Amino acid sequence: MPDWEELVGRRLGRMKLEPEERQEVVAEVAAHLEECYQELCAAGSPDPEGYTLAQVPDWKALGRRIQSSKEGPMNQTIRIVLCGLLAGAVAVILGLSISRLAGVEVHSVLAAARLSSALPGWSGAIFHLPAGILMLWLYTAIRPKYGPGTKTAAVAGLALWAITALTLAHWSSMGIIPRDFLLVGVAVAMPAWVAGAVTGAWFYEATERKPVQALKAA
Amino acid sequence: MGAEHKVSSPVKRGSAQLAVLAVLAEAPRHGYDIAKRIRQQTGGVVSFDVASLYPLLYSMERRGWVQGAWGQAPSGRERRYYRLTPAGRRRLQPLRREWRSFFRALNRLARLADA
Repeated sequence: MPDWEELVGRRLGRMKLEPEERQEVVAEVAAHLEECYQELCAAGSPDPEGYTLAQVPDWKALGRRIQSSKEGPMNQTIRIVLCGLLAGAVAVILGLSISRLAGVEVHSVLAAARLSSALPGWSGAIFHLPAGILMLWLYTAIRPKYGPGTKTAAVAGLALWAITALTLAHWSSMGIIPRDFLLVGVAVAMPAWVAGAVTGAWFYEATERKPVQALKAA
Repeated sequence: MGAEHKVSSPVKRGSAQLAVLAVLAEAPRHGYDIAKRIRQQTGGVVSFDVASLYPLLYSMERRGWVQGAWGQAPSGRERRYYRLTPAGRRRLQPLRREWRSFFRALNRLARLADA
């Protein structure tokens, strides 16, 4: 008899659920297939394994459907967008606050570099919001591997900081922004994006919809 | 006619929900047992496989209509048993009415086609 739990675990390997939840799904689906297999064997089926496995023509699709059923597709997207916007807002507010404390007037530097002549002053802040959504999406993508929490959020924040740092370095090499501003910008962006990511991820976890707890007592 | 309920939910999803909720209204069951009971009750006309049953069960659990809990099957094996919650019972009543109404409407159409 096949090891159904191993088989299901392998085939649903890419399902992005919490490890415990994933294990539960694997055990449940494996038990179903095993019972089906045993019933087919008892009935004298010529190919019990083939008939059993024919129930799942596309394992990837099944994994996606289970994940979406567990989380709710709209719920998941809305949470990523809202918590991402929050993460971006925290990053920009914190970044500007630290810059001001460090005596760097970001807008003045950009005005001097003539970047603000093409775009309004608040445009830089607005760009942080989609960046926050991107970062939250990254957090949800790496969360199944590294687990939910501050550490994983910090990794996502650092990834976005690395992109920011490389962009600033590129602008600096082209002479668009002064080298001093590059150094300050890179230094300020790191705590700002990490704090933004941790805040966004915290809200993301806090808003996770679980089956109604009250029903357990019913 | 006026008192009858419109079939508001998509037919396929609605019928699957009705099937699962109806068999769980009889007794708590695990996934394989749910599929087997539906097959028996419908004479094999309606059947669920793994790919169609579990996404539906998890979605119904998320909505609070059913509740799953691990328990020991008569065979001694651990299985996840689902039972209907009060919210699931409330969902089942309008679903039953919708489907009765739907089939009455189809019967009328079938009679019209025969005439």
